[in-house]
Amino acid sequence: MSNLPEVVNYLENTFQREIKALHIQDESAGYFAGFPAGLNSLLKQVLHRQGIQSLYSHQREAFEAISRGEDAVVVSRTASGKTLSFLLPILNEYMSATAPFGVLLLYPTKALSRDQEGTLGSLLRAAMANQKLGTFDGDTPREERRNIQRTADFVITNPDMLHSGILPNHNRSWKSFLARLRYIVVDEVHTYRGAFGSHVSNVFRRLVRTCEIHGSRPVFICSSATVGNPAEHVEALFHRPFRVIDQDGAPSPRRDVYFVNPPLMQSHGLTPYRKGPTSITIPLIRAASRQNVRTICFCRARQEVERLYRAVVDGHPELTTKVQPYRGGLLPNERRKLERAMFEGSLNTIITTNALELGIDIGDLDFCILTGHPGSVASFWQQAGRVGRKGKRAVVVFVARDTPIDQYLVNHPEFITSAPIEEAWLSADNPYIMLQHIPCAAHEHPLRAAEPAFQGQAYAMAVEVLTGDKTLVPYHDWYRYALADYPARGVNLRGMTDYNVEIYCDSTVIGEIDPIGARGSLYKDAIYQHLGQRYMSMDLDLDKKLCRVEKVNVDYFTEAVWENRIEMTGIEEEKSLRQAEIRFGYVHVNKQPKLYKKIRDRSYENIGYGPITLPAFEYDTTGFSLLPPPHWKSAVDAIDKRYMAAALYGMRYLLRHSAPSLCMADINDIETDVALKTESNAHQPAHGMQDIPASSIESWKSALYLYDAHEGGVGYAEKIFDKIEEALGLCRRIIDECECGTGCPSCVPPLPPGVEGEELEDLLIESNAAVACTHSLLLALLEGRVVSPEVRLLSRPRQQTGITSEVDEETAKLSERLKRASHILKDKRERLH
Amino acid sequence: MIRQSLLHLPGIGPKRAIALQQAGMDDWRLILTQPPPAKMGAGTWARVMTAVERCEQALAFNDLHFLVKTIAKRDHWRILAEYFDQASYFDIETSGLDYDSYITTIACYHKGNLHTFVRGRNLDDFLDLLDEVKLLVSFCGSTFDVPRIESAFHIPRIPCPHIDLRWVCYYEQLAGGLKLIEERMSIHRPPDLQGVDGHEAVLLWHLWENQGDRRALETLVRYCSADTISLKLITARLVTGNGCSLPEMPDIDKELPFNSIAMVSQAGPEAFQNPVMGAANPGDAPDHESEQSGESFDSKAFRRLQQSRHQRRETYPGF
Repeated sequence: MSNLPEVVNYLENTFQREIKALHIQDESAGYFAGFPAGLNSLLKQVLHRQGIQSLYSHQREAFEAISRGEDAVVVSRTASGKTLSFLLPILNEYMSATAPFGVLLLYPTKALSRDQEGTLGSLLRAAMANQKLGTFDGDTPREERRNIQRTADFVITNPDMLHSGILPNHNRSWKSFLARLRYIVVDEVHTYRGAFGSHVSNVFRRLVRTCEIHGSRPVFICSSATVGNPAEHVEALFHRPFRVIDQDGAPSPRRDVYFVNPPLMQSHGLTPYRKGPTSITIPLIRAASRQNVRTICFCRARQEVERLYRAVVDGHPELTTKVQPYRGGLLPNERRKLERAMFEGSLNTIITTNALELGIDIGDLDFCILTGHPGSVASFWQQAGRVGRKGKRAVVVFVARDTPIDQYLVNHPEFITSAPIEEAWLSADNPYIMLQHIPCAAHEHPLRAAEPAFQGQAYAMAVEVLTGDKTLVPYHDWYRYALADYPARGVNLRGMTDYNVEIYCDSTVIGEIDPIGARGSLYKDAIYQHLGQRYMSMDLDLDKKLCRVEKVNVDYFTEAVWENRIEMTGIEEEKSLRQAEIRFGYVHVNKQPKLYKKIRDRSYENIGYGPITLPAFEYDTTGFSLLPPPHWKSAVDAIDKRYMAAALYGMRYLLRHSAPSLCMADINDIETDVALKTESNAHQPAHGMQDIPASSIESWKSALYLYDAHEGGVGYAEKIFDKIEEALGLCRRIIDECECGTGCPSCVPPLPPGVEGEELEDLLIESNAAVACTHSLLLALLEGRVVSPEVRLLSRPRQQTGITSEVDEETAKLSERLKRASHILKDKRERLH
Repeated sequence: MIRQSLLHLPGIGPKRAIALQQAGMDDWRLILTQPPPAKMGAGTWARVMTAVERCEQALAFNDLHFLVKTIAKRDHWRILAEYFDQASYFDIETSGLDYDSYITTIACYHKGNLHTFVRGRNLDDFLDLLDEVKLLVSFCGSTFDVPRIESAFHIPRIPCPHIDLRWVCYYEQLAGGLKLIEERMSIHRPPDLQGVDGHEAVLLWHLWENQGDRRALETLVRYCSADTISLKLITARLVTGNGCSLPEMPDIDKELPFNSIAMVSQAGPEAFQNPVMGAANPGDAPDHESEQSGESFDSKAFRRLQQSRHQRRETYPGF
């Protein structure tokens, strides 16, 4: 029996002052529709047996659209019967079809596809097709693979497997399946956005092309959580128009969303600090677990999950059987064990990352805690939507962290509750990404000069680039792949690295992590937490892809301090915002973990540090630099030379935390940095600067950088560059509305991270310089309020490009980007082989 | 000869084919002009006539793609008889039989010239040659050489029709591999190539690649070439053995055992298009006397070859 009201009472009484807002999402009864007339009687019986007497309106609408053979996207919340809405029409057709056809079901993660196999199985049994269902992913044993290739009509897989396992073998093992493929179901389509989405979009282009070769024209059916632009998004992903079904007919329970802000405390220092979210979440989780309320708590990072779990059970050993952490990086069987325990109810509380944001079935939940903003409004609702069951109230608690965007949200609940949901975007024609997929496509089947699947001029130009470096060679009317390797192997859809480092303790593998993550969290002496146990990294071998850890019992955790060095190696576009130069272009990044800090549990005291001796991680990407307006600069320089640096570091912190919300990016998708150049060395061109015309070097001084944290650049920085005024406006509002007045992590901390130099530190620590200077800079940028005529003389005249036509400029830009991307990829290939 | 191919015609199986033969109707032209024989309905006959018309058309236009695809495997030797002068014979060697092995050498006996292609030098040029080929003949090519070519060059299919001599031999009761068939036909290779087989070809390649052994590469190329010449000899014997006289037998003397130098000299030293061989220094060309080698086939080598072919069958389809 759930005692949710007791937990709510506890919440309201204990944290009366911390609760900033309560938003009540009303219950809705839902819209229902009868079974469609054409529904197979056998299926009808199964539905009746499962207690389903009618369909939700969106299910009915989807049934009709899919039965008409339209490409459709169903936009609805979690637990609104999405699976049924696409499976019912497909099964209905399958049962009356004269010859069995193929259905490809794509889920974004392996965990989700395994989970869905069970769900689909029960309906397929009704259609007597459960023998025809198979999951084909990296975990599928070899014998089973062949069986699936030969006999399965319903194949569950993920985009990565499609990319590297199915498409390259389309002419052999998958020929018959692809030839009779009629439906491609793409679940959770909103996850295919940004860099990942751009990759997946190209994989779909290849899929459509191979289907065409084998003579099939499959229909696409997608389901999506709420995003701002579902139609536009799926169209960008699949390059075809879709019918959007977004009238969600499922009933939703009442949801109370509490916005909680931990209190500001006066410390020994000069500035007040805000208590961490754990001051709220730990007692709440304990209370909920004791009351046996089914609870899910979302954290932002894997190690944060482990820390919170340790803190919750610390001193309360009886909770260890009821509360468990669940995150990516656990081994699949551990994850499944936890899912099952939660589903069966032997666990009642699970602490997790966004790994559980997607529809893995762990049973109904009643209480949800969000530690910090998950990065986007869409994600917020996706996580909040995990709780609630028919006719019962569900409670969501958002606990703000001490970061600008969290604080903005807790003070502006309307940003979450009524603002438009972000638009998901992707760019399939991103040169860097496209140049990786065209060789794969050519490897699968020679390319024609014009491919219907690859529309647009980018394709033709990319083929030209690839022919130039002999990756493709003309053959008859085609271009065939000329190299002997297996191009799909070198292309990773999910990031820069294509392998994982295995973490082992006493010859048992306990987890895995990507090599970039390993650099930042498994350096020698780092503390690694796994299911509540602490381990110390003894030996990280990036070449062997292994890391040995040993159990330790310590009361601290470690955090790496990175040093980034960046260089702008070429400029693509410039604009000026009230005389501030903003340049978008190519950036070379050198990321070096420098040292680690030991931080004590609970008190978060810094109790020591040590060096990290690992090679730097280097990559090329795209980003923009922002140079403060010269007149503002000279005005503040006249007062104190350090003010400008203070403003830049402040802006860096603010932008890093707030800008991702403008492009549905995660905070880890972008990086910001400050380069301080004194006047004297500003004239020496830095290494790699040869692309910048000599005239601009003089003005290339102290600047703020914002760039994509993905190799090749995938467009986040470009999006922010386009919306720069909006981004700066958001920064300004955050400062204006912060209650601290002297600077705090919620707006601009007095000592923003990354500051170097004693003089500057002295200034910042002892004053509110960071926030004040940042504010002044923002005013200059947004309103141009500091105007001094003599400054104008320093400003460089804008380059005139008015004569060349728009198209040529675009073409030149595209060709430049393709060249860059090709160069990066060649380097990468050399590294790999 | 090709007009006597009947087995591919609709409704005609071995029995009816024999019946037609006995009735003296075993020629497309007769089928088109004569009334249907007994026990054949008008409908069946009409379908047969349509099919024959299509074949005649293909023959008129030399549409070898259609003929190879349509005519039954058992009758493929008839295509070879008809188009003997247009056939090109080819063979490949690879670096092994694993999934990541690659093609090392290709030899193609085309229009009286021997063309060889070596990885790292001119392998890709084979595709240009392939565009000139009217009819490609190989041994075991349908499961090995041709798919290998297609996947190595990333092309969906080779541009020319292809006949696998293995099956042509099979229907002539000749099975057991190329070397065994050679033996039964008393075709003898030059002595220095007698022990070489598919397995040794792999070793030879590694000798060349790892140690730069030019002689190893030379032997490999000659071995590969010998296979293609052997294909032509076998084809000629099969065709003549079936009672067809070949229009011309320019380079093959039925009485003489296999003699590759004859072929090479026929083609001229420049036929060796491999830069390692001949072309650079014609005097370097393999110097072997036309020796009548009565030696029987190295049975060990033969068994090894058999084994490797067996392995190939096991590993190839799965990769």
